[in-house]
Amino acid sequence: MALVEADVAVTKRPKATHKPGSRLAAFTAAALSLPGISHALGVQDLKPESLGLDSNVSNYQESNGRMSVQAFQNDAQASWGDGLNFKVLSTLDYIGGGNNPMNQSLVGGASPVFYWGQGNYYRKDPGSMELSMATKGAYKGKQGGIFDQRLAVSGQLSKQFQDLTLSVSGGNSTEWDYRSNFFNLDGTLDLNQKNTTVAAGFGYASDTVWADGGDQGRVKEKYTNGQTIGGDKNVYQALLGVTQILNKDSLVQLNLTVGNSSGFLSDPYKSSWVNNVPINPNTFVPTNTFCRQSSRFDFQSNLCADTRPGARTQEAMLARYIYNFEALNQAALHLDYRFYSDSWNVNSHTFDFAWYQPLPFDVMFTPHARYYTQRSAFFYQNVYNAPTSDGYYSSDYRLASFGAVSGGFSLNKTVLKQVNLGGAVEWYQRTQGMGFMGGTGSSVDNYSFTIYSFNVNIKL
Amino acid sequence: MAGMHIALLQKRSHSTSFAQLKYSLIQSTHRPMNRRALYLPTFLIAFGLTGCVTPVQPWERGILAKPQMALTPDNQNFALMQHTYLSKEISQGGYGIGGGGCGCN
Repeated sequence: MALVEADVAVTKRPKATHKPGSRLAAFTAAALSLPGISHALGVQDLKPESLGLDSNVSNYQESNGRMSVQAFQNDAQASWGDGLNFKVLSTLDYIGGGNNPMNQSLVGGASPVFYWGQGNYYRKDPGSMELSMATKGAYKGKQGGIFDQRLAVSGQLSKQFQDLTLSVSGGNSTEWDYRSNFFNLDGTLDLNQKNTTVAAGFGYASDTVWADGGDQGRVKEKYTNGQTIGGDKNVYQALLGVTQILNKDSLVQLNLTVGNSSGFLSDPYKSSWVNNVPINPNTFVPTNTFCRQSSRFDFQSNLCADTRPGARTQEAMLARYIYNFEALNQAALHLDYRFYSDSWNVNSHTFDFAWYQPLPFDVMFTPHARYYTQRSAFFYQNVYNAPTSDGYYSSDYRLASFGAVSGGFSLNKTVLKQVNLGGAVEWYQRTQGMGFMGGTGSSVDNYSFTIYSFNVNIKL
Repeated sequence: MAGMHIALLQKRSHSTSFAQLKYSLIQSTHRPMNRRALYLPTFLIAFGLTGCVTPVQPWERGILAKPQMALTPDNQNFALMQHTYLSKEISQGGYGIGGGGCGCN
């Protein structure tokens, strides 16, 4: 299309003083400067000026064998001399329970969690937590837990036009119970002799979620009313950011992101316990007519499927500061602070600290620490004392009030100036009492995880 | 693209159900709306202040060009950790935008 418009523009200038030959040369040069055109015509050498290959393998282990994830990331990027850059990113996750997520006989129970309420048939303490279908005796540890695989692939094409860089990206992520298609448009503009960079972006994702009922997600779980659990979700996001060089040793960045989600925003696996279920006057049996129920349990009158509002807006403001200590072998301090709020009444603070310390023999040592705290969503409860008037139910620990500390370090060594080998470890502790944002939560949700990773980066 | 975005939002607003309306009323009682209004002015003030900084010349940027001075020196590990945090915490955004699936069991 750009080629046609350029042609029209040229033919509409009968009074041009340029000779036809020079006009044709100018047009050809303009056409070849368009991204991808020169390569498509085979005019220019396809060989990129630089090529990068990055691989990372990581192992995630949650406390008490709740969940484990093995992730493989493989990325490649190529750059051409005319400011053209292309990236391909891929992630393959194996998600399961126990210590080895590749072993399908051990399923994770982190997602289908719920709390026991009063008068349960199994004489559990009210407020205590149960993982997955471990209550079902013969199926213990087999059904209702999570075993999943995720493959995410995306590509990004960017082109630099002097001070302006535009990029377009898109991709797909598929799990046994989740599918996402997404694309993004991003632009950055350098100002003030490249001391200031303004960034803007827009993203859209079209997602579908369901509850895996077997056969790698081809069988879908249903509510007790026969309706398939799950649905579609649309997410719009936008970003506005500015990065400023403060002096020869420091810079600062301020980002604002907003998001709007609509559709099925609930967890298709989770249920909430509701006390004081109304008694049917005819049968004198507790009867649940006030919420959608899950088919996964046989004591259904007290259980409501996780049901959240069908819309959410999210805003986040991030401030980042980087300072270089030249006297300490040019070590760099990275400080991040993020404030987040959304229309579910969740507010959170995130503080992040990292120290990049160059060491002899091309080694980089990077200790890292993070603190996070959030307020609970307005409809979250561990156990509901009665049916709610708005019909919202969720006991998802992610919507609870809590605080979390994490820390770790990474060690990287550059070999032959083109190969980087490294490893990282991070430990994370989630504790209800560590938060200061208020709201509802439970200490039975406390858990920790450790994540190890190893990386190889090659630049050619 | 912006026009299409607005049209989609309008289409959704026409199909607003009573439950959503009820939700928006609940939301208004729970949510400090004035906080949201502070984001953009804060950003504009920050952008305005960039003009007050003395420019650093290209030949003075040797340290700024070091890998440890990049906003995200280790992209892959950063992406891994952000995805992990996202699957365990409800907050998202700030660092960037973009999809990538859930993986949040």
